[in-house]
Amino acid sequence: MNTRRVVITLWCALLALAAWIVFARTTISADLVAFLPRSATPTQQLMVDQLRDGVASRLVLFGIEGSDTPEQLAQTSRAFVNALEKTGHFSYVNNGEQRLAQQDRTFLFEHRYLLSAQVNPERFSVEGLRNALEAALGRLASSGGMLYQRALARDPTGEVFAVIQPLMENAGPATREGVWFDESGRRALLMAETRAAGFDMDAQQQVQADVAAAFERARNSATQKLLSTGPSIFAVQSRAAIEGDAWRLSALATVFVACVLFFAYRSVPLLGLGMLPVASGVLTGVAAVSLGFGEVHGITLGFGATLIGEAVDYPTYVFTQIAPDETVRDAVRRVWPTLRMAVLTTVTGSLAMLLSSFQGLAQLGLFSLTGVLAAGLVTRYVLPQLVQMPLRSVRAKPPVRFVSFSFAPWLRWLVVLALLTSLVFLVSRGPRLWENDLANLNPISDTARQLDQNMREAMGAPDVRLMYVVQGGTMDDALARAERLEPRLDALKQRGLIRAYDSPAFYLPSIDTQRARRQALPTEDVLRERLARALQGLPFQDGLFEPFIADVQKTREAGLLSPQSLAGTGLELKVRTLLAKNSSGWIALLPLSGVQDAEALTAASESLIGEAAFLLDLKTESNRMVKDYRDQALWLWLIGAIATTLVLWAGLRQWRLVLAVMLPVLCAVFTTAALLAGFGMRLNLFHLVSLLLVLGIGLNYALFFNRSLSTAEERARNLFALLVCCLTTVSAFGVLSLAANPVLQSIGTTVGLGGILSLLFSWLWSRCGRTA
Amino acid sequence: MPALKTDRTRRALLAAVAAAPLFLCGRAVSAVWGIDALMAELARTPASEVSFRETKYLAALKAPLELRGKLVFRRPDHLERHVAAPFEESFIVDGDRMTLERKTTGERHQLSLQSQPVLWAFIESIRATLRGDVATLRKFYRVELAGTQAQWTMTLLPNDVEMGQLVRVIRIGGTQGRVQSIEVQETSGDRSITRIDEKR
Repeated sequence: MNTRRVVITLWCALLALAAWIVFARTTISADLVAFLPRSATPTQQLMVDQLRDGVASRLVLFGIEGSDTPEQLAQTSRAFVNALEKTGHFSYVNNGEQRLAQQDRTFLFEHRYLLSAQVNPERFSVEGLRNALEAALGRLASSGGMLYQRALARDPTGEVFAVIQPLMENAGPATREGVWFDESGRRALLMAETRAAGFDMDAQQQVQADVAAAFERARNSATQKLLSTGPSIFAVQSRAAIEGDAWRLSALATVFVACVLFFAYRSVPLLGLGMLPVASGVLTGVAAVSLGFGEVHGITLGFGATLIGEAVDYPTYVFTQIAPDETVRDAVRRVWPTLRMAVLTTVTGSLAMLLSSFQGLAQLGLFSLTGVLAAGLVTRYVLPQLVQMPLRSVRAKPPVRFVSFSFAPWLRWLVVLALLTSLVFLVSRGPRLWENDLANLNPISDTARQLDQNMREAMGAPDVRLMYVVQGGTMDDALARAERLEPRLDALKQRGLIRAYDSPAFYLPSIDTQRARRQALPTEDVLRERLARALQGLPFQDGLFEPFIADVQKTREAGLLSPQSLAGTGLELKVRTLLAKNSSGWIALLPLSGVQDAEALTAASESLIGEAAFLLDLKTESNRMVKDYRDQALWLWLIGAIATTLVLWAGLRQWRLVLAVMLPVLCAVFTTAALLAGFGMRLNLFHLVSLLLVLGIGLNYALFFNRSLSTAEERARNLFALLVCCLTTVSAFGVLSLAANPVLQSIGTTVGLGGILSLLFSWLWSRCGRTA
Repeated sequence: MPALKTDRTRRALLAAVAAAPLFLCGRAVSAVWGIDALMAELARTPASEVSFRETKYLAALKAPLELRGKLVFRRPDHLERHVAAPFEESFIVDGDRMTLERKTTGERHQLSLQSQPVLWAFIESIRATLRGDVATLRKFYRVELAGTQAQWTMTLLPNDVEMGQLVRVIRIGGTQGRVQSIEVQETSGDRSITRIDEKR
């Protein structure tokens, strides 16, 4: 009695502590990128930052369709822009009208002599002015002269054109009725950038709700509908989809599992007790990850609970094997040697994941390690204490007679055949076996992905995937280095490798550059005298350029631009997204658009390495990371399998037994992988994690199949336990395989299939499965 | 065959009577010659290439500016304006794409016409006229027509506020299906007159 009280008190205390840690101290992060590597290269770090906060993650594309005439769509497009701007969520909204906000226009015009790359001493010499004035005359006389003449008196050298050019270069798709349309003319296109980071899910959810409301106000017919796409849209959609799917399917799975277990136990209290180990495991696992990592990722939570799904089986192995006149305590004691091996093998497998440099895998490892251990200990030490006197009478009555079935001995060679066939098939698939595209790892539907691709192509969206990155010690240093890169990029433009590029230095030049430009401006007297000489023989009215002289003086006397000067303009955010602080100082980003041949560009960029600048290709880089992630997971999987084998040997002490346990399980794992690949799926990280679970579950099956049991009744009970376990696994994960969400679906299919195969192969290979 | 003769006479008479309204109608058509008739006539020209002289009277300049060049139009929406003197400049509009090229400075700009509403409105005053497309003209301007088929003047008053801040009125003069002059009066007081000489 005393032990009982101690055990139960201790258990409750630990659970309470875990619960406190989980509910009071744990932050659940939804940041997908936080799930990515901890020990990354600077490039990877940069890419991760970009994926998380960069332009790429903030960009949203909208399409409006559902009207017969472009006029109606264009009208809605304009109203929608206004409505979106009013929400305050967007730093930038464009539907092709390319309206530069008034304050931006003013800023660029006011500071044109500091911003224009054309400003140098020669430009303000007599000859330079003469050339500029002749050009101004041409511009005035030209077909667009009407638009220019207002600025002529203040800006005869046309600096504003040089300043505005980068903002105008992105030509975008064709316009109809003044706004962007796709080629069919049936879909109006818009592009926007959210202020909130792409993976700030709560903020993005609010943004999307407000966007829907804005569209509701903007549309002029009920048939018009809004299409939206972008990383943040996907993030929110998939979270919603996973949540919806997960709740619905978990409920369904729970019902199935409960039905199976009730059929097995014929007892409601046992059913309830059977849930305690896995519940304790989840709570302990979350608490452990929270303590170990400071936060728990949503994905860890989701997959972790799945990973320790095998813990549901632990009490089943005990409850279904209680012999007549046996207490739960005795039954546990009897089953424990095998169950202990089952727990230890999973713990060993998880230990390997803990070593991963990818935070996501490490979190999963710690979670399943702690969770399985806790569930095992609760099954062994707490359950017997709980099922004492009052419940003793309620004993499971397994229908033993159903399960005295065995196979012909030669059938075991099917296992070897399956293993060999699968291995050959998997090897023959080569690289096609794997999913490398991070985009495809996104748990989004194919329709959504197709839409995204269509809209991106139609939009000719700035290639957010390619950008030059310049590293500097300070912000100003980064800007100066970005400026030094400009001639090189202009050359690339000349060669047609890029259509245009952007740079933070266009809007905020480095201090030295600004100073040089200011020094190039002559004093009032000098300018007046040079201008008079330059004007000789030109037909301009006398005194026309007084405002020009005044503006130049104003710039000479005013201070230089600092990041604060941009406050309140739309350019402020632009500069902020193009400049970022990192561990070694500041980086400037120069996004490229109109890249035709990424490979040629990469080759042309080789020579830039010496300039502390490099070409960042988000796609290549993220694909490389996915591959690294997967390779590491594979290695860890292998290390885990080897470690598990050693643990098995330590426990079983016979290589023949170790082989009997490992071979069918490995065979099940590889056959599952081969079947998935055979059905045209590309294996991804989620499949790998699921296969890890298959390994855990399969080892349990194999261990129980290989117990040395003396009586036929014991064997039948054992087989019954295994069938119940397999049935719960298959029903729970079979339900998941019905999910619309590809991630849940791939986990469900893999584990369901793997569970069945593990059982089948272990049975075929094991002694108790044979007739002899 | 007297019967036949009478019959023939009667027929001739009947024909004359029947034809009378046609003459009357013919007169009536020329009397109500209006914007639709003009547009129909303009629309009949599939392509044209003419030379022009433009005189700009600009407040910023002491003397008027004289430009010479040629205008090319191809239905439905291709317009070229090549200035040959005093500087070389090509201004080509094709559909929504506008390309401005200055040979003397090597400048080259390409724009989407619809992204520049004012410029677009300005282009259409010529392009839509040459095409005989009154619907497009009315989208940008209030259109008034005066004069006769032999000598007409079409007055275009901007609808758009932004355009209205720049341009007061555009007057296009011509004879039958041919444009002879384009006059643009800006709100600033500047104005330009383009005279089109027949070529080809």
